[in-house]
This record gives sequence, C-alpha cells and structure tokens, in this order.
Amino acid sequence: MTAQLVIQGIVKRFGGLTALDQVSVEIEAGELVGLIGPNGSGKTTFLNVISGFYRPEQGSAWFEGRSIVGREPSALAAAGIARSFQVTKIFRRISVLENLLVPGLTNWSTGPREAAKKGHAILEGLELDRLAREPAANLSGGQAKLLEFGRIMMLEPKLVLLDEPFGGVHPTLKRLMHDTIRDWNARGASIILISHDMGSIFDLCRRIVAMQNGRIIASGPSEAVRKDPAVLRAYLGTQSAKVAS
Amino acid sequence: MIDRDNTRQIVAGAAILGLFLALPLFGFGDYWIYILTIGFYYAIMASSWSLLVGYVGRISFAHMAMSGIGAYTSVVASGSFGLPLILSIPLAGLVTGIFGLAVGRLCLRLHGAYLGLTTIAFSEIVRITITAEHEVTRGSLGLAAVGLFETTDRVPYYYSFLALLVSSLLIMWLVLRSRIGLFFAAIREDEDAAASLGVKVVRWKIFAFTFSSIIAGIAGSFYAHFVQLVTPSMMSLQEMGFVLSMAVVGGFQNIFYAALGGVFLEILLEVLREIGEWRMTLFAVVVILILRYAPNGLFGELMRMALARRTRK
Repeated sequence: MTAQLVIQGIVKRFGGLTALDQVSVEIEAGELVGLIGPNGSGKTTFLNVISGFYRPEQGSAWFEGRSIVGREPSALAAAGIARSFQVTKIFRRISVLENLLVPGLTNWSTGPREAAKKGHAILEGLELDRLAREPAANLSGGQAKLLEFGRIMMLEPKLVLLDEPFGGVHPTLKRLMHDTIRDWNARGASIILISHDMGSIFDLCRRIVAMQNGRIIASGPSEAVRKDPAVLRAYLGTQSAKVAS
Repeated sequence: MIDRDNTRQIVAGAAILGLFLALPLFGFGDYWIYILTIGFYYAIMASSWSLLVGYVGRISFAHMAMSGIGAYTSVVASGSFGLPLILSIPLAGLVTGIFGLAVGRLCLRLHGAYLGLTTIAFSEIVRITITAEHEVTRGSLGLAAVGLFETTDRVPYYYSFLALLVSSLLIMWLVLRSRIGLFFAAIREDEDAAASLGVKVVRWKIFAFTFSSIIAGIAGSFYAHFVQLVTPSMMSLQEMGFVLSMAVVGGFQNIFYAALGGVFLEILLEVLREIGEWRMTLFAVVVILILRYAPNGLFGELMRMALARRTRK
C-alpha cells in the first residue's frame, strides 16, 4: 500500500543556500513522526513545502496519491493538511470563537450555527470556552498555542504538521497539548511534530526523522534514532558524541 | 467583521438616517442640500475605501481613479453612444469592476508602501491618459453630462444619493457580516495563517478590490450626472487625500464611521471655506491628530466612550 505522504528528492534553495537537499521520506497514515534537528537543519522549510508555502526546485511530493507540489496552501488545507506555526499566528483582533470559525466556514456547506457549535465543543475540550467571546489578543502565549490547535481541529485534518508547539508553554498546558495530539492520532490523523523538546518527542513519537544541513541523517524507531551516531554528532558535536556513544 | 452586539449602533444609525431623511422637509437651503449631496458621495467613497483598508488591510490610492473611470464610462456611454442612464450607470459599475479586478490581480503579492505606490501609479496613469485623450474626453476641459433628473431641483438628487449611500452601506454590511467578512479579517491579520486554514487568500483579496471598485465606480457615475460635468481633476491625488482623510477621521475600521467622516468633513470644509486654503492645512493637522490620539477615528472613539460609560453604569 502506498504511504499517505510520499516525498521524493525534494530540493529547496534560497539563493546560494540549499535548505533542503534531496529529502525523501514517507509517512504512513496514522503515524506520529517526530522531526528533529539542530537550528537551520531545514525542518520548518520541509513543513513549508508540504503545506504549500514553498515550491521546491526539484523533487516530488504526493499526498494520498495526488501531487501537492505547486498547490496553494488553502487547497492543501481543504485536502486535509493542517499546520501550526513556530511563531503563533492567531488572529488577534477577532474573538477566540471567530478564530475557529475561519477554518470552520471555509467549507461552504457548513453553516455558521453548525460551525459555532463545533467551535464551542472544541474550545470546551481545550478549556478555552469561557474565553470564546474575548478578543484573541487577550490570550496568554500558551492559550494562543491551544487556540492554534483548536483551529486545526476545526479542519478535521488527515495530516497535521506541528512546528514547535511546546515553546514557552506551561507544563499543565503542555500535558493538555500532548493529550490532544494523542487524541488526533488515535482518531486516525497522521502527525509530523517538530520540537526541540526531546522529552515530548520521545514521549509522543514512535518514529523519528532527524535532519541536518537540509538532509535526512537518520530515520527510524525513536530508540534507534536516539542512539544513532550521526544524530548524536549533529546535536552534541564530534567529541561529545564519542563520549555519549 | 462587524461587531455582533451592535444594537446601539443600529439605533444611532437609524436616528442619523431619520435626520437626513427629514432635513429637506424643514426647508433646508438649496446650498446645504447641495453640500450634503456631495457629502453623501464622499461618504460612499470613504466607506468603500475603508472596506479595503480597514477590513482587508490593503491600502489603495486608486479609489478616486475608480470613481473617475465609472464617471467617464457612464458619461461617454450616455453622451456619445446615447445609452440611457439606467444602463450606463450599471455599465460604469461593470467597467470599474473589471479595472478593480485587474488592479487587484496585479497587486496580489504587494504590501504596504509597494502596494500604495503601485496604486498611485495606476491612478496617475488613468488621470493622465484621460487628460491626454482630448478627442474623446476633451482633456482637462471635461465632458458635459446629462443630469440624473430633468429638473434643477436638488432635492431628488439629495434623496438619490442618500438612497445610494444607504444601499451601498447595506450591501457592504451584509458582505462583512457574512463569512466573507471573517475571511477578510483573517487575511488582514495574517495571510499565511488564513491560507493554512483553507481561506482562498488570492480570491478574496481580488474580490475586495473588485467589490470596492464597483461601488466607487457607481458612486462616480452618480456624481458626474449630478454635477453634470466630469473632469480628470476628480481623480487627482488631492481628491484621494480628501477621501483618505474622511475615512481616517471618521474611523476607517468601520464602514459606518468612515461614511459619517465623509459627510462630516465635507460640511466642515464648507464651514471653513472663509479661511481659504488654510482649511487644507487644518484638515491635515486634524488627520494627524486623529491618527495619533484616536486611531479608531472620531466616531469610533465617541462610540467607545459611550459604550464605556454604559458599562460603568
């Protein structure tokens, strides 16, 4: 059976910098994959390619058997690919509920009442319903991250791309986010999770893909990647890696 | 997005509309009827400009050019081709809609100063082309236009412009309170986030340009058939500056406040006519002060204060 997401030989350059260099990876439906690597290794660029924000110079990308290269982000969202951003991008001047109505109403067959009902249910699950009518600008950093989760949930995605969702989040909220991610995954959504929070990565992901300098340096079960010498070198440097291994 | 709990605003709006409906009945002078009619025209221009800037976050200095395109389309269609106004005015809307669509498409990837400069360039191209195309447009001499009505009485014009203002505000309000208004807000706040959530950013930005241009074009054609003359000066950047000031002073984040700004500043300009060109300086100072101290505009600030007082009670 073909994997849900198939990436083959993707190259993405910014001027003289090759941000992604022949990246190939496959994600099966229902997988929860951690994407790790030092800063500048190409993780976010990879997510930007999958979600339609960047068009690669070379290579192909297929989601559920359809090519996604060159398709608009909005079309990919409609196809079932949802994402969060490293720097939270909530709509600050509209209410918390309206933030959820934006994705909820992009499907024209969904009416405002139906979308609002769904939005309230999601906000309740994220413990944000009491703030539904508040301007989103009033939310704390952690709550804003949760709101991004809520917006993703409105789309009922098949593939979720999370870019550093735990940065600066209180442990209580982080637990709620972990539970939400597990719940999405249990319902069948595939997830690619970028995080520098290794505790969360090893806690949540059964498989890890490690990147460095725009290339995939390791891919496999979490425990194996954790001990991979190339990964240790990338994170700790050559000398320290020798000591660690 | 329009505020959802806006009962007070609706009551205030109905009161203002009632006042404008009643004014001619109280023997209001012909001169002031004329000024208010022009004020309604500016109100349409300021509110449709604020839809683009305040709701979608796209700056445009080509709005008066759109109005001019509408005016010339209707005047040439009715004057040179004998089209009745009932057809030439919708044609004006159609033609400006096409121009709006083209400019919207051209400016898709532009933001801030780049977008502003591009729309200024477009506006000047239109104005200079019309000025230069003497055979069709008679250049800066302008073209005579037939009147909307066969009477010299200004009251029918007054009510026509009021009706046009109310209907364009109503249409804009209906669009803004629908899901499209929510998509506009999302695009204004963050285009990438909006796109990632399924909002067709390109489509809605072009729609906003086209929609506001159509309103400007129809308003321009009404204006031309009111003053019965159309000249390239109606597309000047100074005119654009007036509309911008009206929207800013009224409150460009709300179409109703921007419309009130249009009527209010048109009246103020007339009241201050005695001080000559100094009124323009005063005008500019007021705009700067409002931008600095009341970014929601005069009427936005008044409404905020009224609501705050009510909350305290």
